Amino acid sequence: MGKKAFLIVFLTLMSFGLLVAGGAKDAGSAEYPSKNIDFLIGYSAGGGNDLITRAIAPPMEKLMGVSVVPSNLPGGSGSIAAKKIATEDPGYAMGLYSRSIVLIQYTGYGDFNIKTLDPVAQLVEDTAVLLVAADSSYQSIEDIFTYAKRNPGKLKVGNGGTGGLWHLAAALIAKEGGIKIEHIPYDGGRPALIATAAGEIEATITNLAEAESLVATGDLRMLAVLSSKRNPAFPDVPTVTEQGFKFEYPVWRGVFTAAGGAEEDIDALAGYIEEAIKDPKFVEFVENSGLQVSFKGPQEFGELIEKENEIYAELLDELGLKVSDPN
Amino acid sequence: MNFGLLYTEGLNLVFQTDVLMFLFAGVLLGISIGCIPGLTVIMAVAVLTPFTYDLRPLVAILTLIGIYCGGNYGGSISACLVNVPGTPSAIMTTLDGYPLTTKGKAGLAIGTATVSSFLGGLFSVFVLTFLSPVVARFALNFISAEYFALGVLGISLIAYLGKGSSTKGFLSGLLGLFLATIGADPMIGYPRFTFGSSHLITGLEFITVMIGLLGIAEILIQAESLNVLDKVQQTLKGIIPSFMIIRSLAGVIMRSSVVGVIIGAIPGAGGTIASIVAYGQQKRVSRNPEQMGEGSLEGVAAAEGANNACTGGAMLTMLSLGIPGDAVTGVMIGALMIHGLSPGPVLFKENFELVSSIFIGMLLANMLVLVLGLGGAKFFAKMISAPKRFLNTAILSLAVIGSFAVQNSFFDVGVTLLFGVLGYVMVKFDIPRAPLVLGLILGPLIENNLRRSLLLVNGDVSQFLRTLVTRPISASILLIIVLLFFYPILKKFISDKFGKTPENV
Repeated sequence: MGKKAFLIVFLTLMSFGLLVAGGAKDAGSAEYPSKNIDFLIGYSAGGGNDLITRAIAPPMEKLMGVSVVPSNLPGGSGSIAAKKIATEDPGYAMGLYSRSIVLIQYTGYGDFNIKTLDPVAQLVEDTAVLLVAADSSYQSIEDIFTYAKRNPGKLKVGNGGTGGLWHLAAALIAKEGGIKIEHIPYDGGRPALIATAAGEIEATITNLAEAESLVATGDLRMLAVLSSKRNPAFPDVPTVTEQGFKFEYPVWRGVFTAAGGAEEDIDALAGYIEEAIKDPKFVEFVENSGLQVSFKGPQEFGELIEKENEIYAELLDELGLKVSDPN
Repeated sequence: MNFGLLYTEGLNLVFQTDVLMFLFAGVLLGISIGCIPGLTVIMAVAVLTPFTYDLRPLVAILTLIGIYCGGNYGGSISACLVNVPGTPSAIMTTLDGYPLTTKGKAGLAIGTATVSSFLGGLFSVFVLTFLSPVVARFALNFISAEYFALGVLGISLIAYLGKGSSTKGFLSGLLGLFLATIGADPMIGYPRFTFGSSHLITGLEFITVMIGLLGIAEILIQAESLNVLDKVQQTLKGIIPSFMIIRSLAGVIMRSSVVGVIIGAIPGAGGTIASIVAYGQQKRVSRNPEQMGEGSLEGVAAAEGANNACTGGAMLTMLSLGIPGDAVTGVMIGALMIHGLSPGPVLFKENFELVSSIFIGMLLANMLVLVLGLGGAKFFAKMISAPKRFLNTAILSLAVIGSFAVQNSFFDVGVTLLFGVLGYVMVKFDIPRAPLVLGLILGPLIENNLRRSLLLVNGDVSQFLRTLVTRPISASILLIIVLLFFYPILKKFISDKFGKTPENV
């Protein structure tokens, strides 16, 4: 009986070990796709990239006739999975990434070079939005700019972390608009939003989905979406372009695969993606998450990445955040 | 605040097969681990956390809560039966539990411990449920300077409340604070102590450190003495205590539960201190103090009520402020973060269903403790004599797999092993490990908020200090810190002057 009891504990403990599972792969040949595809997720389960990958995999699988298998390989701020994808067959291992994958090359978060990957296609776009407290005196971007111009370095703009997407959004606006602002980093987007509502800082930039609930509760007010077109979910919020500024900050998410694949394979893959994102269930999921479906093919997406790679290397350098350079 | 929503919001989320299954498994596992001497709740939660990453956040957190509640209770079984506390917090339970067993009343001892644990836990969940939204709502208006003050309070309590030498407590806490500085600077992004490695830029992975410090270290300690405990001879009967007994103990359980919740809510103090304080208090107010230590049911009830009531208190500060009440809730913060949920006022505002589900889950966990404890006592009694050499081997492999699984990195396995050795050395030199854990968690809270506050006033220190002392919240926190600092001196002064030591437990 003592042995039996021990066995039960032992097995219970060991069964927890089984919760961690790995993926397997096999070899293939000519026609694309000729074998199953690994869809690696560089982040842990439950995050944005994880959810989108798991939503797009089923419609892709249906169109491509092979298995498209999502699996999480978190670590190194997404670079572990990116490095793995770079060593696999082009077109047969891919990953969904946002601008962060460009940034980590320079901020030292992963010793990784974006040129080891080829951009395949952009799937969705996130809307960046500039927010102030509901009772703030700022009514438009113009107001904020007027204040910042008169008081250089006085305007306090919060962000979810130094060197992150929203810090760079604010830095880009300040650079292009010729104003000096004080960046106040918080431990994540939500604390920055809460601090804006509490009046500790004047404004913050984040994505629409994250800000939505605090706007709904009447704590925060959206001044503008950092895009050239209004968001269908919030048609009343003006764009920066309408207000006479050129600060679009598209927050893209797109698929990458290993560099050096046959052009027709990559085009074929992009074609499947273009079809798959029209799947009604995927569209519904994307819209519920506060995102927008927005396709860019290999050519256009590739140019975007190349341009961003330059812009952010320079911007991070100017902000004193560039600690590594893969090139 | 609509209190009706506190339990209803999460009902649908909790009453799902997988959630209930994992909660049940968690409690069962918790009691098993708790009752085996040497396997502590902290170690179990630290080692098992990485295995919950692939679960849904709610399932993951409730599994850990199950282990937490079950484990805190489980320690009492071996305390009563073999005079060895299954977990450190059951130390006071041995004082009366084991004498009862030697008198042939093992069933009564375990039954009383179970019911007291259940009632203490239940009480603490109610306190947690009704107080944490209030605390969280209050904390929503906290500015960075106030969070800074709160963090400093947390750190100063460690040194004050820890067992043994406060110098060693300080040492451990400072080490934790230092380790927390590793990684990218939170304000300017500059890598600190990373030696150019991209592994360290995000800082030390908290869970990885915990697995080593608390899990591996424990196994190393036990490797020194792998003696198997004597077989449990006692036959257990009459486990379910009569209503009369419970009624006579109701006052004791109530008092010790209050002590437990309060001490649980204080960062750095845990179930062990709670049960020592509650036991001491009971001895003072008891009508038969001479019986305590000789097999008094009051003693068992006071110790077990308090150490289980700690769970709700520790969860209270963890959920509503993001400051862990003890090492276990510290690990839970790490687990929640992995799922993108950061505990604190924001969680209450934006993810209230989850918070409500945690309340319901904890209620259920405590009920399971009662049912499994009363029903399965005989089974758990057998488990106490499980051979350590097999058990520890299994745990060691789990620890290594777990530390790797956090972010698929062998570097982390190295970190775990390194901290295993550090933990072993710390135990050998009687340096408490809990302050290190809290330092590691509170470090970023203190640093980020201090530097953010300074950034907000353009580095003007005098203006920052003015904010600190003029805001009522931070001013009161500062006052508490000062009082705590001078309390030992004050106490000494009084005892010198009046020639007697004030009551000290």
